[in-house]
Amino acid sequence: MDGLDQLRDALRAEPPAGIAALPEDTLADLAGLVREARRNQAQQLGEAFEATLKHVPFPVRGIVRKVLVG
Amino acid sequence: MTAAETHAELMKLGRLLGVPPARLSGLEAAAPADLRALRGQVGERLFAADREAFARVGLLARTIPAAISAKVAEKVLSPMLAARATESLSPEKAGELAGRLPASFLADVAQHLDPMRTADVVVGVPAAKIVEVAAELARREDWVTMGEFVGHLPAATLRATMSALDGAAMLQVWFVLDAKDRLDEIAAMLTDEQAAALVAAADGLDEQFADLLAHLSPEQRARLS
Repeated sequence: MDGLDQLRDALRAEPPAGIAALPEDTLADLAGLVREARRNQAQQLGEAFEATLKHVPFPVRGIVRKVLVG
Repeated sequence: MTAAETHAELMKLGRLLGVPPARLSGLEAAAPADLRALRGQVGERLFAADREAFARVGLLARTIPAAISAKVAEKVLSPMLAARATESLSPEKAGELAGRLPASFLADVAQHLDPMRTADVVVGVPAAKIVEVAAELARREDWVTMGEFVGHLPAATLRATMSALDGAAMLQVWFVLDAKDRLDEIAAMLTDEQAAALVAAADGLDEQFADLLAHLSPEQRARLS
């Protein structure tokens, strides 16, 4: 997959023409940064959900767990 | 198009991706408008990827009392996550929560908010709290974050926000304003005292002042020239 295809895949969208015209390695690097940001966000979300359950007062913990975890 | 506009865009994109602007030096050749469009796509992708999880955080904020939600948000959510969760809130709930959170935390969150998706939510935040956050952002000299949002504020809130900024701060914010089409309206809100402070601050901020004048009507330009 070339750099532009990697970026399209990471964004799930067609990048602006001025971005698509940048060098191949720049586009591949940018695609990697988008994927990394996505992974970091997912990890932070998981940690935040865990931490939330520890911090909320006991009487509402059940409701919070139901909302966050389902 | 200026180098400053490109730098501002790379700073905003870097925040979204969690990297310093220097890490994005390969994008310096791109036009600011393309960088802005790219930022919108990245923001949309990150939000869409965990839309369900953010919606749950928003639902949680509606389910438990605001006092507890605010405490939990401040303790366990990173500013980035709090910003994404904000996008799932109603303006009323966002206003209620913001009223209970310190300006320093809200300033951290503001750095990660996407104005393209949160402009309607921010409107729900009380004007007094927005002024506090603006003062905190000015203290940090974070003109880019303010420049993203001030253009979305209602006129009365905008006027109040300007009272928290000195002449130099106003010039710096207007220079990186996303909504430059509002500059003439904003300039018309300046009191005579604020206009004088702004002109006095132009010495040393020539590029910013010239950019401001270029966006004004002849009437407002005459007032500041």
